[in-house]
Amino acid sequence: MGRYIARRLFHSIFVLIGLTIVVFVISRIIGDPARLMLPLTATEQQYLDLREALGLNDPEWVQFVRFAGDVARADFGQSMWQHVPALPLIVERVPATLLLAFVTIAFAVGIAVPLGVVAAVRPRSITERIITVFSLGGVCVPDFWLGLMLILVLAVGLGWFPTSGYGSWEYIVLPMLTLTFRPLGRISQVVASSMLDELSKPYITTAQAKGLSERVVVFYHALKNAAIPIITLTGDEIANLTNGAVVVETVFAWPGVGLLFIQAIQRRDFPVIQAAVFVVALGVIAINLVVDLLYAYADPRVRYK
Amino acid sequence: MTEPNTGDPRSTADLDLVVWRSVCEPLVDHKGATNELVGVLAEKWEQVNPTTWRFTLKKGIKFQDGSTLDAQGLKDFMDWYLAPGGTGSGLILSTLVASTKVVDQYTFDFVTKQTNPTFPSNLLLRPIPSVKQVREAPASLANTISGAGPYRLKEWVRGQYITLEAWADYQGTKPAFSEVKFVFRTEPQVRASMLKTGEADVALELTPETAAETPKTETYPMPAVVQIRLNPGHPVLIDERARQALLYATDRQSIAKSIYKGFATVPSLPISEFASGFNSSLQPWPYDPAKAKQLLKDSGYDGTQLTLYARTGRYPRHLEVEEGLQGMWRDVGVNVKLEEMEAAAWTAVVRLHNKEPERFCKGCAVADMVIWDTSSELADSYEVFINNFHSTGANSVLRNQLADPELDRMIEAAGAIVDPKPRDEAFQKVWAYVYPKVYSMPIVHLQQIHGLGKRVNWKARPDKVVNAAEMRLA
Repeated sequence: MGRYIARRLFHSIFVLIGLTIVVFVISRIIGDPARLMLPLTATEQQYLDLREALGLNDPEWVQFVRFAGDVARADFGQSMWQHVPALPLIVERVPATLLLAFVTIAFAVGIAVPLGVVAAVRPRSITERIITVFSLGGVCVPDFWLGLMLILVLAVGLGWFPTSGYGSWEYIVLPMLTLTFRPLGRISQVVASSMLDELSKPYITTAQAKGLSERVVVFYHALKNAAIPIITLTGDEIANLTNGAVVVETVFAWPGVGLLFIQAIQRRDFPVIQAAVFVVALGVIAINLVVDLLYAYADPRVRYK
Repeated sequence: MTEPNTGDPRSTADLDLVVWRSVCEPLVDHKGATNELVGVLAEKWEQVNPTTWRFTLKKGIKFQDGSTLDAQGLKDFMDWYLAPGGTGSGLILSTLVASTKVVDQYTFDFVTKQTNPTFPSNLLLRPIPSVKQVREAPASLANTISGAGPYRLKEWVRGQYITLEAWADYQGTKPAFSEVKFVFRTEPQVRASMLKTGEADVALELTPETAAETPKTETYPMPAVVQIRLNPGHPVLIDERARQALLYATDRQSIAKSIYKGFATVPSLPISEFASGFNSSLQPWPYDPAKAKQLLKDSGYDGTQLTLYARTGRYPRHLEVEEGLQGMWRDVGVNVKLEEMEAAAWTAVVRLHNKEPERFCKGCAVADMVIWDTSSELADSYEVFINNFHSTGANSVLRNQLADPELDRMIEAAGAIVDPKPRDEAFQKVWAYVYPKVYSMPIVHLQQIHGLGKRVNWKARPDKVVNAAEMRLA
């Protein structure tokens, strides 16, 4: 197992290098930060001077060598707009993003799994149909609209929670609820379908014939064997949320990576874009590794060498 | 409303004045909501010769870090602020200033590149931080800033809030609130909701819809007018009648009423009516689709497609306006393609005439129409004309083959007049000259809407400056 993890981490270095090159190339293609940084009334000479000052007039390969050398020292340079080092700017946003991601997933999984199980053990019942409509509705509802509706009802109307911001536990409730519906819907659908497969297998009949209670059969035997697709999807949802929930972060002014990342793209703030991609990629690599290791726990037939 | 990127005035856009204007003070300022100038750090100023403006500083000005301001300090600041490489408002000032000079301990000269009778108004939106900080640790301005203003920076948590506290040693009128916290919410609906729940006392920049739900609002006409820059070299738009036809075909009253719920007016010119030199005798073009059709026929319009370049989010409810325009023009037979672009791509189109000037010639079909909100933050016709209509203007497509020499001459002559009244009259004549030529189509003049909570009284200023010290307890 230790060797497997070491090998995966070693491979991750190549992923990061490849990603860094791709992001460098794409960010140079998508536009010119100097135009955006200057007021519209700036002269053409001022624009050319700024390009020179930012090093944008150098050939691309010179810029890349300079960038790669800096990255090797974990220096992504200074934000072109904020004039502070880019990497700490991203890193200080990571805790807010991770907090929102894990609270959301914990809440979504905590509800989705029982819902999916109930839907699977009562197929074609009215309960199953209600759960299906609820979960598909959750997948379809737009974050932006839902967020504003929650603010109007729960914050303005009932006064239960603050409208937006970051701080004590009350602040996380509305963004978490807004984000929960999509993973809740997707995970409950996958739980229901995996459980249906498992519940139709012969070992379930054997377990029932042995006189085991339905709860043990469903939650101990069937659910554990149905876990692999659930783990995969949950990992995918966590990875999505660690990229930053841009819309929700914007509506609720949640100080996560996503909002900063989008602003950096809009402003062509290359150092921040590159640092953000690097940090997010590290997170996704770590999540994928954890997901792969959980497979071995869920299914003893999986062995990592 | 967005968070300031930095406290560094060399790279601070005017929007950042929402926060930093309460911490730092400029040499001169608008007197409340008027266009009249009053001294803040400056005691008096005069034009001692056509290119020299002499400022006398108030004595005993102290910054929050304990340092003081004298003429040498102001020179050190200006030399740093105007040096090449900045990206903020100093960059524009540097195009006007040839040199600076210390006359005595409290007297300071700006030598301008050209005769500039309105030069002091260019110092309005430029608050001055501690000269000691600029001299000793300019890089620290990215995160912290000391000024001579009514508030000082207490805490800045990036991505969350900025807290200012009243500065006990402030020499002017003491502010009403001991502490002011700025939080940044992108969505106007959220800002309005914060007013309702009592989380905020002031919500800046609301939309007409959210304003309707807000009990107390403060509105004023924005400095900018939404307008369309036309490329008069385009095979269709080269004919003045075709440009006029587009204006006759535009039902601007409907746009103001139905899209902006009355928080907008129909402008006669592409500049605020409060700007110096505004010609009030010129009336907004009426909506007359029949006349538009006739003018299009007379101009020989053959159905050629035009393109309207718009920037996503440039001004409120832009998409409804642009699609509305498309429909109105379609009704008179003009085929217009709408190009919605994000900032970088749109900026490249706006500045295309700088990069590829040869493509802007008579009969060249490039960058037909650009819709934007642009005008004079300084409420001055000269600034608008020199930037947008003069053959050397950064945003003017009237250059090379498309230049209007008579217009250039009129702008230069009016700009050189020192006395306010004749200068004002001269610019009124320039507006009368460009009015029928429709180089830029004024579409709508929006109002800025701020929401106020029960505890606050505030008379908002048309120059967009938000100074927390001007707010009072209700």
